[in-house]
Amino acid sequence: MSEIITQDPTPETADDEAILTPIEEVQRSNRFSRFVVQPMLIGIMVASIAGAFLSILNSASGRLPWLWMFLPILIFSLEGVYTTIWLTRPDQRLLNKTLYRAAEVLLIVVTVRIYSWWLTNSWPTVADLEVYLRTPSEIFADPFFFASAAILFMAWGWGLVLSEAFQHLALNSAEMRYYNMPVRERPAIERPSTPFRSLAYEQYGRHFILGAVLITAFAALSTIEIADLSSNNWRGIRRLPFPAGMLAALLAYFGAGFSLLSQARLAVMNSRWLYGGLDKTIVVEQSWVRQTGWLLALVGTIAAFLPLGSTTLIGRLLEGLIRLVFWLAVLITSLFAALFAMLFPASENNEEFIPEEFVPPQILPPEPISDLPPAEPGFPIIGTLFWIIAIGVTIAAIAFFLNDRGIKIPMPNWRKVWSAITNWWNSLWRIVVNQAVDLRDAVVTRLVRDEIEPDQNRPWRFIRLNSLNPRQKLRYFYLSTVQRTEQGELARDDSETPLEYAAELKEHLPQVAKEIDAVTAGFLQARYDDKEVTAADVAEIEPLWKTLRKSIKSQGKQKNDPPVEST
Amino acid sequence: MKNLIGLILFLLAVAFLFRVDFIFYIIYVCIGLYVWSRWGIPYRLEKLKVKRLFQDHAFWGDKLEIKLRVENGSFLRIPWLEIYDSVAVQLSATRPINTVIPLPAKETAEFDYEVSTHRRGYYRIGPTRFRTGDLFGLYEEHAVELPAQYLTIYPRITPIERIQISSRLPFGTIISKQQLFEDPARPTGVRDFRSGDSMRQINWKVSAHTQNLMVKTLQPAIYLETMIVLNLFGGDFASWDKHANIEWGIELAASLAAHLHGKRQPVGLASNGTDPLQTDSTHPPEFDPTSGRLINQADSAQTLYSLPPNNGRAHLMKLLERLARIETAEVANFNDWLRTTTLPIGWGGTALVITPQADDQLCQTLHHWVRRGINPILIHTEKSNRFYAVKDRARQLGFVAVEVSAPADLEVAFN
Repeated sequence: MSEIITQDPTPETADDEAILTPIEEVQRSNRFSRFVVQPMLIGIMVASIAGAFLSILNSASGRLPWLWMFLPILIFSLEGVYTTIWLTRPDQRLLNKTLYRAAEVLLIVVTVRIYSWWLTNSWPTVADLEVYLRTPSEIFADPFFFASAAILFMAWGWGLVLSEAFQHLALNSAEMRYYNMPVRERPAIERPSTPFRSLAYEQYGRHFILGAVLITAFAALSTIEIADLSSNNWRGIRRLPFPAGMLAALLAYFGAGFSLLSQARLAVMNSRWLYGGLDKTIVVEQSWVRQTGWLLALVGTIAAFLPLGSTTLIGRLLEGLIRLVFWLAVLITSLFAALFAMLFPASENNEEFIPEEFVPPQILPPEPISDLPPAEPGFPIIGTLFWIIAIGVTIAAIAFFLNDRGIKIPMPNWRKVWSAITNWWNSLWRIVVNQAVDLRDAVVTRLVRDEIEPDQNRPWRFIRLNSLNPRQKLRYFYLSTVQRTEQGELARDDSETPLEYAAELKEHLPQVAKEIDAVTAGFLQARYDDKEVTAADVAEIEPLWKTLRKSIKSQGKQKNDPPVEST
Repeated sequence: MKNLIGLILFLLAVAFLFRVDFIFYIIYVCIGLYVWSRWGIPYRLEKLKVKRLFQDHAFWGDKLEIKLRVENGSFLRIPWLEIYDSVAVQLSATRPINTVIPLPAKETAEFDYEVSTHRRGYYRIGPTRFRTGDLFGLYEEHAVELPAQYLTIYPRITPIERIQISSRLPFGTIISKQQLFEDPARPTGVRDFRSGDSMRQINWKVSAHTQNLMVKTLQPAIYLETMIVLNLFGGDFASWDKHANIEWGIELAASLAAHLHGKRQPVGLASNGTDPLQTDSTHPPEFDPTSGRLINQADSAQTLYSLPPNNGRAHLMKLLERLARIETAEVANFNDWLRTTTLPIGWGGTALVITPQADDQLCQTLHHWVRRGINPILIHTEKSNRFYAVKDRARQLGFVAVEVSAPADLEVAFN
């Protein structure tokens, strides 16, 4: 006896708030499918294909841990899917999505780089860091990292495409709100735009078929092994047993793919039912999901008990047919090639082939090897700048990526650091500016005073000899000597060089000629030579300078004393 | 997903060339899903039994429930079934069935909704479309349709307790004030003999018993064979309330017919309006999207008709059915039509002429009827100042004219 299901076409609004209305129930169901089921299925699909490809790579190059890349691929596929869902939220419409994706890419690159170092246990040494500092591109010159990143980006991109297709397929809240209003109360201006859901469904279907072709090809490739690729010998091909991981990947891909196909179909139907004003209860969606699962399980179980294709008679017939078609294709191609060879022979003029005269290669003399020592590497300014910018951009990208997800980086500390740096810089700048202002004022004062009193001597000042460095001391010895001689006949003319003046001075003070030469030589060394002046030089010249000073003093006293009249 | 076949072929080629047996398993799954979509859904739809249950005739104001029964006769579950039922807007009391359900195997779903019966007419219920498909979109959807059925809503009948309509036919069942039509089958008592009484009316038994001549008293009665003549020429109705006046005319005709049927009198109908079901086949009638009623096309040839007087329940229902479907016409002027038509009633019959307005020409036409022995009664259904002139003219010409522009006027006008 059949059970009668009576459906009320006009569902009453629940008075009790705890009881969900049919629309709320459907929305909740949609949310679960959209945020839990679909991302998981997309992640499984993408990871299955990537896993199959990694399995092939693992077979081809077993020394590298390719299979361990499965984990980040799964994680970042899910991350990409959830990011897509998050970016399509209405409250994120003002967010710069391109910048956000760029930050995501940077984060993936950094993570894969660190993960690949960890997997291959090849953490960079200090020497490696120095190389990276000088040539930043060297950090990417790792085939494993490069290939891993490429595979991960392809998987991540595939996840994004599938996720975007499902975001287009899903009903948004504006549509649900608008089309659940009575027809007469719907304001035309608030009518939400309708996404092309059938196109999104077809887009998913194309990607599903493409992925199925790829994973099947990977599965087929995993069963053969070419012993020696270099020998170009096809007899070296060896058959391998079908790997269990590939079997799991195939099952996971097709199971998830068909389930997602059903979800996509449900989304298309949901929009049609909403737009058409059809009453729908949560039972429809629950039944849809349940029946999809049961159907896949039933068909899968029945298929498991069917004889395998190659063992059946029809399988053999088909195999023979395919081989026949293949053989015919080869035959036809060969016939055409032969026909072309007959119609268009290699040389139409039948001229004899004259080989070119052999010209022995010219041997150039070896280039002279420069005897210059190799230049010492300078400070890697560009590399340092690159890494400073790269690290800064990475930190900013991670902060940007996490900040909007609700993960707050402790920004007050960074602000403190930044404020300390800016304060230090400001105080330094103030000091420099003040000194520049003082200097300018001193120069201006000096110039003004020179203009007003050009003949007046400079004001004297005390100089503490011990506060001077060796170079300044040597200069002081000479200049103080010149200053002492300015009052008398020994005054230095402005046009005289130090050596000319030394010669003149020696004429007047021949007893201290040696001291004059030493002080002048010390001055020239301190003034014009970049050779380092040491305390020893000062110690050598200082007693000579003192002797010279006494001699000049005594010379001056003799001049100032009144002549003693002889009696 | 037309590419699924291509995928299956590709998988077959790979499976045979590389001898990977597990790929056959995937092929079987793909083929299984395709077969389920390709042949499973049509099979279920073939086994779907749908039925619409309702009374196809309803009186004005009745509560009418339409029930739709959908039974999945197959052994497989229908994953989703869209049901679109279309009902005229004027009938919609509750939302029609526009829903989607899953239907398990061998189970039945029932839907019911009410329609409003506050407008007479001939309405279409349905068609109801059922559409289903697979869960993956691997194959196109399939649909079946439950053909439309029709609902007739009779015009509103205003109950009339008692009206006085004169007739020239004696020996009927309606009590009359005119002694001329005393019915010997209706004795009411006896009285003393008066000079001039017929000897045949003396009740001899009572006279012997009372020792005094007593005469039988008989109740007078008439036989009221009536023809209702309804004017539905569109040009005769005032434009300011045309629709209401048309409906009132039809309602009045239906009320009078029902009353006369209640008195067991034969009643017929003649009108210059049209019945959309009786038009020529070259211009079939269509359902008006606004009112939902069946209406004639503008250029279709109109069939004027009359129902000869008869009594009995079946005849009344037939008459009411006509009145439910009848629509105004623009081609046959009422007066011209009356002159050319022949009423299917004999001498002494009564013609209730229902018209929104009357003039001297119409009075002249009715006078011809009087002269032919027909008893016309002019019923004016629109309020008009000129009616008094018409009434005087009718009295001069030997027939009665009354104005009935509202239900309240009915008994006042005829008594």
